[in-house]
Amino acid sequence: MTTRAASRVTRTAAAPRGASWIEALAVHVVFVLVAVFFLVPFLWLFTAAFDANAEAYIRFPAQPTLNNFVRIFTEHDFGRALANSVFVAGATMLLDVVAVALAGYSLSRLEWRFKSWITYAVLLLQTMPLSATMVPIYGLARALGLRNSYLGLILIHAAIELPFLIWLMKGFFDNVPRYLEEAAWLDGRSKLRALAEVVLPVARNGIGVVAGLSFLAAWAEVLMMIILIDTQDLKTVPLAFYEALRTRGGYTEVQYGIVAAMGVLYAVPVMAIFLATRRMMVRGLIATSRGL
Amino acid sequence: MSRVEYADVSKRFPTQDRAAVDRLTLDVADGEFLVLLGPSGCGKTTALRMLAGLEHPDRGDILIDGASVIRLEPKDRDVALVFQSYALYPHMSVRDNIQYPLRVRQLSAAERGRKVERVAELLGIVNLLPRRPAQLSGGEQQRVALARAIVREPRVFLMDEPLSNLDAKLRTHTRTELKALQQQLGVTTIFVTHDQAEAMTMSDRIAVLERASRWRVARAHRRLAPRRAARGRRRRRPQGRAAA
Amino acid sequence: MVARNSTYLVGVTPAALLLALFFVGPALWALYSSLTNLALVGIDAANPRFVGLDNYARLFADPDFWTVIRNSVVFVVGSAVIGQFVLGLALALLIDHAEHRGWWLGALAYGAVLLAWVNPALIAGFLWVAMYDFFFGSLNHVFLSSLGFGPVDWIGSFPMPAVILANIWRGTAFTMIIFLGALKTIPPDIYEAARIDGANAWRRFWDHTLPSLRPIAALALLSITMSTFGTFIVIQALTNGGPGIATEVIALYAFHTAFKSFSIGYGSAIAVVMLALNFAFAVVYLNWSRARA
Repeated sequence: MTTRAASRVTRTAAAPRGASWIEALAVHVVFVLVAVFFLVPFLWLFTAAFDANAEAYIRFPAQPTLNNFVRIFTEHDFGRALANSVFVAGATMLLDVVAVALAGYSLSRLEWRFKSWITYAVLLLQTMPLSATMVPIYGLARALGLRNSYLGLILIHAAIELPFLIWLMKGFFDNVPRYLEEAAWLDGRSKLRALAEVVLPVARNGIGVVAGLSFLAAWAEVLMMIILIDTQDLKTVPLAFYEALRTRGGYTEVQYGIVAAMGVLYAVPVMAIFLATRRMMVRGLIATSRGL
Repeated sequence: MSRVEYADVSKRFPTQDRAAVDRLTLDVADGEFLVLLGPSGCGKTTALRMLAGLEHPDRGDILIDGASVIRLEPKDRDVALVFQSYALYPHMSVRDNIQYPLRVRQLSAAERGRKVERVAELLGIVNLLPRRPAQLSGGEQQRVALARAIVREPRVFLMDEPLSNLDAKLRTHTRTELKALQQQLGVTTIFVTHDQAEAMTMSDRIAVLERASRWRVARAHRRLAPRRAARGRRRRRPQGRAAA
Repeated sequence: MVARNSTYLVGVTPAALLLALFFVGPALWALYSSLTNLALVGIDAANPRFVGLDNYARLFADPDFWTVIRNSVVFVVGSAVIGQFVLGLALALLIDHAEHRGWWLGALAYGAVLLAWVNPALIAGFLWVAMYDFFFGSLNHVFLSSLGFGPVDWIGSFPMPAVILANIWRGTAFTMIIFLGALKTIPPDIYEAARIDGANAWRRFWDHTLPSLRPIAALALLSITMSTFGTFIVIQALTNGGPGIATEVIALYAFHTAFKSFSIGYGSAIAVVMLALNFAFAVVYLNWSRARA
């Protein structure tokens, strides 16, 4: 840590020599353009959500109002969608944390001839696009009676991110020295309780990342919701949003204020959680891409 | 207060073509301080870990007090191991580290507190109890690791080069202290090291590993001779490197 | 040893069951049903018949399929290779550079790019629906009109570039993050040595920075190619494959075939083609990344 910090300092200190003001200006102009390009759509989303007569273009509401938010709860039953989404994403998270902790730990500690095959298979699954298997998953869910059920939603969403999360978590476990759990075994703990009491607390950052990503993924995912749910009772946030987007057939008749308000409530939790834990998430992502 | 026997124990790791431990037969008497001496990578740690249950022997048997333990899980063997790296639980305070084995055995809080205090006093670490392992020096961590092993009053102490991470001065000091402590407690102790001086000063007996297959056991103060042991080590060195 | 491993194998079981049920199972089921005339409704729904490779023969003879394949290639090359990869790399280099100079505006650009990436795909689709709107979209109503131009029918006239732009907007962060991570691992003494050797900034970049990014670049490229290949939601929200089938990529085609035309068997054949292509990419990807490790 210290060496890295030190090298950073030397690099920073050495750099400004060649910097000309033209270069500085050019780089800053690029940054402004990039920021505008990536932020403008959000600017529209937030202005429209608070505008009673929102249009498809950006304008600052004449009088900002919460009317759109009130209406999605009173007219579009958004409260139920929120409750469903929180429940499904929360249950998915719990299931994922248990399955990922067990599998990631086992893969990290397993010494077996076929271990590299297992790892290979996990990585292979990770690259499988959901859009390719949605038709068979639909058929499977119908055959097993998992359509229009919380259980189906939870199981499928837990499975979707599983290969990636296992791989991520295995990396965290690889960094927990084995002698810690061996000490716990010798102190009299079973394997499972040593995992829970010693290994997991030490790898808690990893568990946090897994829980966060699992919740967010299940909250945001919409493809499986579309093919698995067609009752109003089980409608989730993305489905409510999807429906509002398609009201009365075409996009031209979309009530932008309503949809934008739903969009804000749909997107903001994701952005907030992700940005709050940004460093950890980005580090996890880089670690996986490097450790492949 | 236990007797330990290795009976013709062998162990080979799948990734290595040479046996880590080959036909080891060894008796450790009740209350004895036995040192396993040999170069690094020669199988002495493996021998220790097999007794702890962290590795399974391919053949042979290991007995504590005449009963075979090789089918027992580590948690059921009632032996304590002081790791080379100490293996303190980083997320627990020193107090929680020391009382962890007692909590596992479901002792009452009052009893746990009493035992922890007593051991902490014995090792002079009472002032460290509220701290976290990361806030301790190497020597302090080593003491906490010892305390955690002592507090549960196990049948056997196993120590895997517990002094190798200390600086030279502290190491010499700790040797005498540790030896005195062992005599006071009277617990059978198996101590692994590659340091001959350490072996000579601490042990009742030394088991020298020459090859994986050949062990010589001697009274420490008989002339097992540093010279001969050193010769044996020199001869073995290329192999030892390759294994490490 | 044996006893220990069996404990660990038990630990893998819950995850293995889920993966078998929702990854391996569906893939095998797709393979099987692609050989039948299974349908969503009607008589074939109850009694699917084995039809051999008929679905594949029909698929490969279908001109629409080849249009869809071409669309997919254009979409992947445009949005992943040219867009996300090049833009992500350029941004990573600029932001890393700015960080060394102590220019904080780089952090703003970084945050903006990241924000577009973390929001749900459906939101991205919706935002660009609004941006592109012919009468009132921000692009026409605010941007072009303020420059004195008339409105442009973005989705109608340039459907593919429009979805590509939306996907670049959403996906650039990934490559940017990966490259920023890789840039931080380049030891600074390399630059110092090169500076002492008299290399100017451009040479240092060309001789040292780029070569040390090459291995991670190959992996990032394959990785975004695979994920872009499977893109569904953004396009579905924006154009739903239209106008006509101008932006119908393979994932949408499988979806429409199965759920609009109700032919599951035929749709499965498309899914199998997708899986096979993806599998080929994945094997190359994994072998490259193994060679690195």
